[in-house]
Amino acid sequence: MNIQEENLRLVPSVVLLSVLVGAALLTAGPITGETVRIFVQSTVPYGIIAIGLYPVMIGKHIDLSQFAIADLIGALIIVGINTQLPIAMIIPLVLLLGALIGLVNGIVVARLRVHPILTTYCMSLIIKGVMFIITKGRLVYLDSLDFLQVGKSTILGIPTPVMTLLLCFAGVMYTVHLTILGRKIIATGSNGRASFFSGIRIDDVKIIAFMISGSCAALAGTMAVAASGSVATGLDLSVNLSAIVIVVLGGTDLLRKGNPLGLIFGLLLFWILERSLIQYGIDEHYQQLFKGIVLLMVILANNGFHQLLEVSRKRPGSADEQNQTLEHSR
Amino acid sequence: MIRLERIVKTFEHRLILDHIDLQLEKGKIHGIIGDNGAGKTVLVNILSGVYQPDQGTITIDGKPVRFSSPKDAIRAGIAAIHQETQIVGKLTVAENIIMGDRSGISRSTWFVSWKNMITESERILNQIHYPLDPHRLAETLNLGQQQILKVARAICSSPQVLIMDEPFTNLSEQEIKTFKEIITSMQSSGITIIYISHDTDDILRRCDTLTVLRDGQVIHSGPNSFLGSIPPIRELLPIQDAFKYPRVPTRPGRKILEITNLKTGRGVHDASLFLRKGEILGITGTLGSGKTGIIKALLGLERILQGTILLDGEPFTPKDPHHAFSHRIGYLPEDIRKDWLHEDMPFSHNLTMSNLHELHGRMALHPELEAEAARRYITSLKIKVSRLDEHISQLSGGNKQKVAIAKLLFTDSRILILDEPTKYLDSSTRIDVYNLMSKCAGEGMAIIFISTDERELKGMCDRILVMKKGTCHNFFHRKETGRSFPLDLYTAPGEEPMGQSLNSPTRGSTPQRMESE
Amino acid sequence: MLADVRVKKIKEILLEYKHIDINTLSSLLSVSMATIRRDLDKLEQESFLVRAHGGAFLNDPAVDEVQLSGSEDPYAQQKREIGILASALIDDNDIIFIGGGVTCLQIAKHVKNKKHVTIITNNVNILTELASNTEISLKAVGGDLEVVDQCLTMAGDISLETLSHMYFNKSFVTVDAIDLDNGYFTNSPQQGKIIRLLQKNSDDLLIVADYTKFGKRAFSYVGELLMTRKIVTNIDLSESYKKQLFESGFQLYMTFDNQ
Repeated sequence: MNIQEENLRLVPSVVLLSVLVGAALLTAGPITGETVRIFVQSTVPYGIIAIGLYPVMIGKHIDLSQFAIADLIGALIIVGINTQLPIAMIIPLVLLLGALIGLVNGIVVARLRVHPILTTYCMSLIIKGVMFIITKGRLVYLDSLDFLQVGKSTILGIPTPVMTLLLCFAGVMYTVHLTILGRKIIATGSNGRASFFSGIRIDDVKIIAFMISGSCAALAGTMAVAASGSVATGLDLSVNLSAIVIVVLGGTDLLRKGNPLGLIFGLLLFWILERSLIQYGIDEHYQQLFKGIVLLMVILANNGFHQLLEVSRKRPGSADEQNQTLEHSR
Repeated sequence: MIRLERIVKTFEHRLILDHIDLQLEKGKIHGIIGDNGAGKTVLVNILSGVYQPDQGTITIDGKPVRFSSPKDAIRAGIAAIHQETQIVGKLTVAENIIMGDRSGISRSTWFVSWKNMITESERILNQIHYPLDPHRLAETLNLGQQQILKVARAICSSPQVLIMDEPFTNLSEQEIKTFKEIITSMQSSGITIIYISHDTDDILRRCDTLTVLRDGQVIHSGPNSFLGSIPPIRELLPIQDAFKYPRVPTRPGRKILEITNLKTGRGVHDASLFLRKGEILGITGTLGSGKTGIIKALLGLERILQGTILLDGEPFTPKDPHHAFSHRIGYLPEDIRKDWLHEDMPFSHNLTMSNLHELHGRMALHPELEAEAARRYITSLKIKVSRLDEHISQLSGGNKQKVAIAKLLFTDSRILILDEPTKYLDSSTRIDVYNLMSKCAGEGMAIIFISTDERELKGMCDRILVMKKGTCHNFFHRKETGRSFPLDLYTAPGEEPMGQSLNSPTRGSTPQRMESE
Repeated sequence: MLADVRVKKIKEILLEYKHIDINTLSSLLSVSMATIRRDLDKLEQESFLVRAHGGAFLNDPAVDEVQLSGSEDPYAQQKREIGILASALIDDNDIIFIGGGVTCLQIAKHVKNKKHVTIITNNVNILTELASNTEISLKAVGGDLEVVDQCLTMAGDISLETLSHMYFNKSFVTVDAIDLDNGYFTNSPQQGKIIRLLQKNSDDLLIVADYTKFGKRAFSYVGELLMTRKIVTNIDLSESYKKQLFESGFQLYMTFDNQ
């Protein structure tokens, strides 16, 4: 399959995206710069988390602990700033902590061979427990609002959160698609045994993928604090699943290998969906329901389209080849 | 008596079987031969209910039948052993045997009697004289044992007709012998056997009737005695197999690898061998003889309990395949689809996988370097790919093996360990692989060639090591000229592995290289 | 076939093979021998070729030189690789015969690091090539001069007489066509006679032929396919040939492109 065909896979997402954009524009009330900014800022963490999930999912794993990490890091930043520690010190430290949690995840999954869903779910429980101890179950918020200026500032005319998102995206894409490490991540996801016999230390590769995911989660937590200035305990799993949905929508489903363009589309789609639901003025209580249905429909449309692609791609081969593919699909 | 009349099968408008007529008499062995893509496998799949013919009829004893699934065929008494493995790894041997046919072991439709299942599977295994523990998980069996398991499963339904599609692919010589005895005993009990194999010689030797397929048509069908006239040059000569292997003689160089009194956790009790530059060392033995155990130890997959490995005179304790690769020991696994290739990745990415550092520029992987390497191997090994980013799953078996070997060569290893590199290949690719091995040895690489095919070992190797019960049983040296290996490696007396020849190499110490300026 | 198309064809054939006989041309172009003679006459007037009895030589100044033009041979690289591989098959103390043609010349060029090798050849170019090599004991076979694949080569009764008193460990010869059903062919009947003699006088007869020679027939029949079972050729050989030869017990040595 070449790149063009992979891009073809995005067609359903793009179609839906344009429909939603159109709908959003048609029904939109007055969109002010401020509402857009707030909206973008609140969505950036989802994007960063989805990007961090990308290498893990290419390696055919999953990380459910990201939002817990983001929350913990957010709380730690707030606590740190409130105790007057310099921001320049806090941020590297929390990023390192994110990577460290990723390392633990990775070691448990790769070395101790615990299923990633179990591992990362347990990890998220542990992290939430730690957070509970730190915050005593209360909402924590910044004493001074200086840090919020970070979220409002711009770099080269682009809002800092968006810039962070873009840099993160570029960094992860570069790593996955252009470096030796990335090639090894893809290979490990494609066929772990073969990668092992090819001289790839697959345990290390898995661990690094989890570390990337952990650091991205930490960065997302930082951005979340910069946007809202507060962190609440008690976010549940469904939020983390949104990140998975973004990645899946982008064509990085658990079976196929990823496509960087897909990730962008998935992210935009998610964005617009959230946005338009608010625009339509749909009752908050129904939003979840609505979101779930729409996303399911998109995924189904995607799958149907992929199957169509597969069929059209099949070339008449030799009888034995035919035989094999048929055998395989049975 | 089974009769196939005017069978037509197309896949996506491509005619695979073109009005096939076939008669199969009871209690005979029927051989089917033909090139890859001639339609052999599709034909037997129609007979065993995997596919349904577009046109034509199948009659059994004069009654027309129609199979809509393999289950129907089994009910009608036709069982098949296919090329593709259908063993369920997570189930036990007994479960795998009884799978699909519970009639003999349970009164209820829904529940299975475990005790009956065990006794029944033991009975079947005894019937084919191959003891396997019924409680063992199937995934712990090696490929050869899994093949036997497939036979046991096929026999379980007491079939009238048994179809065997390339049944010997994974078996050692010893097992093939047992297997052939099973065939003979089954035939004498009145079972009709349909036998497909690329081993034309064996079909000629064994089958009562023979069908030759070409491009989906029957070009010959009848008693075996007519057969001599089918391939025009075959009738002219008795095949002298041992002489057909294209090994260019090399002068072995200095010792590069030396294993002394190796004992590992599993399989190997006491093994010693050495390997010199420019030579091909064959290692053979039946399943469980420890021939792969030595290799596993070399790759760091088995713990070494005793003994030493010297690499270039330096002690070497392998940790994992990565460690072995970094010491330029390259290993090509037997099952390349499972253990070596990434089927859903492009050809070029597969090729370079074990030596990515070769492609690394200052900042990133260099796609041009990768494409250049890919093109180099396409021209030199004549790998048939339509694009550099073509996925491996799209390639034919022979081409996959070529990619697999190219990937190994790209690692620039000086010791190549080839585990059954020719097993699944047709003759035209095999001859390519043999020539490639000879070329590599000529360039000074040291090759360990693991195989159960005695002929290819005798034809290609300088020395052959026969393993038995975890120890080096016999060691054979090729003499200065000619082929002096004994006729039967397994029974002939051989030289001791670490005898005189080790201390006093009889030949010059510089390897003879093939000039390629 | 139109006369001018036919003449053009003859020119192409001559440029490739340097010499050709009327029989072959007539069967290649499916026209009568008389027509071929008329065409050759015409081409002789154009000084494109020189008529000899039963055939014609390309009137090419290069033929006069000992080293015939080899640079334009599109398969020069393949022939060279075959030569390298075949030379690796020579053992110490061997007495070998190397025949005519560029591929055989390439074998001689790469005989190195061998001890006590005796080479007997009817290929004049090999004589000049190996003249300075003191390691090799070199013996020449005389006879009538003819051109075989860009090399000046001896043939005829004198050669046969000389060779009939010799015995070789290995003989390397080239042929111009190999056909699975019919066997080996050469363009020159004289070379075919030598090969038939060598079959009797050698332990091993090795055919060196690049892959383009397979699946063809040429003018002069040498012998059935099984007169030897050793062939040195390129990996480019078609799959069906590889398969059939290997399954018939041929020892098929192949070179790999080394670009």
